[in-house]
Amino acid sequence: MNFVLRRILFFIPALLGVVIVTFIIGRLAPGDPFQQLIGLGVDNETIAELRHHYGFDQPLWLQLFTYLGNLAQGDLGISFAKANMRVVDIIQMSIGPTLLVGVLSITLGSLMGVWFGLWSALRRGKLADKVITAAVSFFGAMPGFVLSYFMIWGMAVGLKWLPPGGWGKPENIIMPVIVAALAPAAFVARVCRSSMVEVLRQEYVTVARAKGLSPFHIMRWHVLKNGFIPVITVIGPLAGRSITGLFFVERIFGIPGLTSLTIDSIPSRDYSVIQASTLMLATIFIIINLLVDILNTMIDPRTRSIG
Amino acid sequence: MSTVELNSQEQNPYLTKAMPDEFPLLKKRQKTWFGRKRDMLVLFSLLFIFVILICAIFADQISPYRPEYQERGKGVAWQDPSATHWLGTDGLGRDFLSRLIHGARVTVVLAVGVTVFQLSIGLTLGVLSGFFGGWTDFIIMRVADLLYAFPGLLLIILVVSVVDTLPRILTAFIVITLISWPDVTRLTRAQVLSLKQREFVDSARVMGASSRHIIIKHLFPNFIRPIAALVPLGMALVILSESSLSFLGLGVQPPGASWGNMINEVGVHFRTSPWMILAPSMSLVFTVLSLNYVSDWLLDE
Repeated sequence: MNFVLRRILFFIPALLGVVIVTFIIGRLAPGDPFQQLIGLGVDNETIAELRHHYGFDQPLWLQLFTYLGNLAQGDLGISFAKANMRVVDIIQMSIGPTLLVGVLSITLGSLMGVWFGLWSALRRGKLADKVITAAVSFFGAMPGFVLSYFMIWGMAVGLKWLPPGGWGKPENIIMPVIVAALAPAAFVARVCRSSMVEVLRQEYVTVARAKGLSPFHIMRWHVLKNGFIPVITVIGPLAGRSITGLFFVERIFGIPGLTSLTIDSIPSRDYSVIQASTLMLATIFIIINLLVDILNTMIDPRTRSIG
Repeated sequence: MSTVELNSQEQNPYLTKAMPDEFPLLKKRQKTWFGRKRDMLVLFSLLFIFVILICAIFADQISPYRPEYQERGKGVAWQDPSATHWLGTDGLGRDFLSRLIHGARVTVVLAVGVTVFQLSIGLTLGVLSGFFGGWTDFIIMRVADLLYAFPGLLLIILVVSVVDTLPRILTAFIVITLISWPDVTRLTRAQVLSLKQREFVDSARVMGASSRHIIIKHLFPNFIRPIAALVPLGMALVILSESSLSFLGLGVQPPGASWGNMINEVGVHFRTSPWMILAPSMSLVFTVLSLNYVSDWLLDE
């Protein structure tokens, strides 16, 4: 448990680093949200007053501390583009769809990856293995936006089984989740296959077979237990891939999630929203990594000494 | 010195060529390309990469129209493929093939450019970190850790969206370079750390060689191979990042052509002519696939 505690302690500086980086990038930007008011006929004094009111005239480090203080109280400031909206409320509205699609697609992707990885490892060199390996490299090389369009082409335009986009109805979620799951699935399948092939080659598996243990017993206690360790390790980085995958899935299928919020806030220079949504996405990423690390040490005690 | 020679002899393809007479089972291994196994897929991959390279270099000579050239008149938009427009025209009446060829240029320039900078930064920091250790190592590795804490594309999107003093594609270039060096650095550092303990480094030191001499003459030739094998893979990642950014409107700005923004432009009218998406997306997928195969092939010794 000592190890888990240490991991959690490392989580805090990582999160702080992310907060500071997002803050600095947001503030280093040329100009600020009030600059566009000049075009709307607002005079310079009002703008100066606004800058003062929102603390934009203070030194950077002071702004950072104010920001951190507010953040600790769960206050992310106000949106500069949407009138009378608190960033917290905007984030709250869009975090749901992202988490839903994200968690479902990582789960589905891992399951599919393990399934196909195992399948091709057990049928090594046979037709199934060749087909799966080819599909894995093909889908692994395909960016999410290309895949989304092909899915829409087949499922919505061609077969008319599923709606091409939108949000709110249960059938809306099927296609985005499948699209977002395929890239992680390809990745997991690749890792799973090579790991299982390696384990199946080990002497202890041959010994277990020679002892006459049942194939099920060998799979359960000898192969899977050892073969899964690398698979679980890659699920952390996988979360990152899934998050970046969501940028395209949410945009193409019109899902009102965190990543579409980020992209939509860019033209209006709504820095407070861009900052907050990036921060949320990075936090989700770090938390998933942390959980995977902890899970990993619970399964494989050997990794405990490293951390 | 002797260890180095021994080591390089182990990997010498001429040596294995002489062996089959004594070991008939090894005969199959003789059929190799540059000491690696024959693979038709790799041949196709290399050919495809070559075609893309030619397209990128001679884009102006090959393409039938200027990529920004818009035809005037009625019905010029969304033309079907014909003798005059091999791949049809896009929503603004621009020749799709010409745009595709010029899109290859962006892809190649970015992939090569980022790789050059990424390797120079990554190798330098990796060697510094692995060879000298101590505080240098600590600081470099913590910065690398911090960059790992961020999902890559997220950081690129954040920076590119906020910085608008430079052209977006240039910002993207810089940011992709700045976040991609840790991979090279980690690999180099690990290699240097293990090589540093080998005998030939000690021997060189005893003979009075400087650190500089040891790094360049003894370490570099040994650690460059695995790193070079990963270069195509890194290029594939850069190409994916660029096309993703261009797709989101954060990379190459219109009217410039890039595979990513072509997919985006065509995607708007996806329901009327879905096949338009095939050309840019397949160029993208096959380039990435080819690079992946070549990398796998180089790694597989």
